[in-house]
Amino acid sequence: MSQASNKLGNWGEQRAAEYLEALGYTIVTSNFRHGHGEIDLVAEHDGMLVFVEVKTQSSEAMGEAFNWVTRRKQRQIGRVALAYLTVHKIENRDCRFDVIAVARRGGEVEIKHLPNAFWL
Amino acid sequence: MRVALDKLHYENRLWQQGLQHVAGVDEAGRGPLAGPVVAAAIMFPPGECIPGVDDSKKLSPRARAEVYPLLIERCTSYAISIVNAEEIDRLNIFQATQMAMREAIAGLAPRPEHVLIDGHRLLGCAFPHTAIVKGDRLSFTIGAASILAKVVRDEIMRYYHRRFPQYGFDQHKGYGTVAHLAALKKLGPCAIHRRSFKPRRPAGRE
Repeated sequence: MSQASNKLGNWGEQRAAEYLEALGYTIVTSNFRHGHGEIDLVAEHDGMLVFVEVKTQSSEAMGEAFNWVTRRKQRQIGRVALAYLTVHKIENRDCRFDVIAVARRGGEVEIKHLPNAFWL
Repeated sequence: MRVALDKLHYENRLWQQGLQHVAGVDEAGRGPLAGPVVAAAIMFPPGECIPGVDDSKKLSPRARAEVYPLLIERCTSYAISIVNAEEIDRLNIFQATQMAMREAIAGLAPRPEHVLIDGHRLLGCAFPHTAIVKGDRLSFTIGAASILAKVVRDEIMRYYHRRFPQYGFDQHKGYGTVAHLAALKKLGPCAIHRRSFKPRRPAGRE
């Protein structure tokens, strides 16, 4: 990944984290890595553990950001989530996968949040 | 370590035996939740090789669109077979894919003397054939077929996007992206969704 796209991604993740905190979520971890995969944000809300994939849109040409979270990506996130649970010895906990799309439109930051975006 | 691939390895062995009509066949659209599975078969004259032809998944849509007319121009013959979602549900996806590939091969004129097939096997193939796992990147002719199938299928999905604009078929082409899953949850399936492909949901919810 280029440094520029990494920077943009970090910017988007920060916006997403702020958005979730405003909604009353607690951010537990960011950028949890395991193997080739990474989970952008892990948050807690109403006793539920939420794994969040953040998509930051760099241009209109990308189209709908939610289309970039493909099946393959979903499975990858699932694998990393499982590793997260194992590492932290978490059992019998309700979990969920959300996707947040962050875009800059003019001066405005636009955030789209899709709770329970996919299942494994 | 990276070794240059001889993409004509399989073709050359057959061409050296004096065969004139060596075909490649591949399919696109086995994984998605909606739309048809498309198979393409194509044959080139001995010695033909077009640079830039690779596994369709490795090329960008633009690169595929650029090389596509070259394939059509330089090939001896090509054929496309389309199996729609309804038939996929009736047959199961494996049988549907195999049927599409058999039909594509049968559509070639002249008849191929040998067929290079992407994958493990092709049941009921009436022609001498070799199945090559990962053939789409190992063989030029199969790679060409994979591009053909992909380009045609993408075009079909763009057409379906005009008929069912709410799902975003123009973007995800029926594959199970988060956007597609969200649209499915909101709108339910449309006429081109594979009913046998319902995305898995956790037990006891929804």
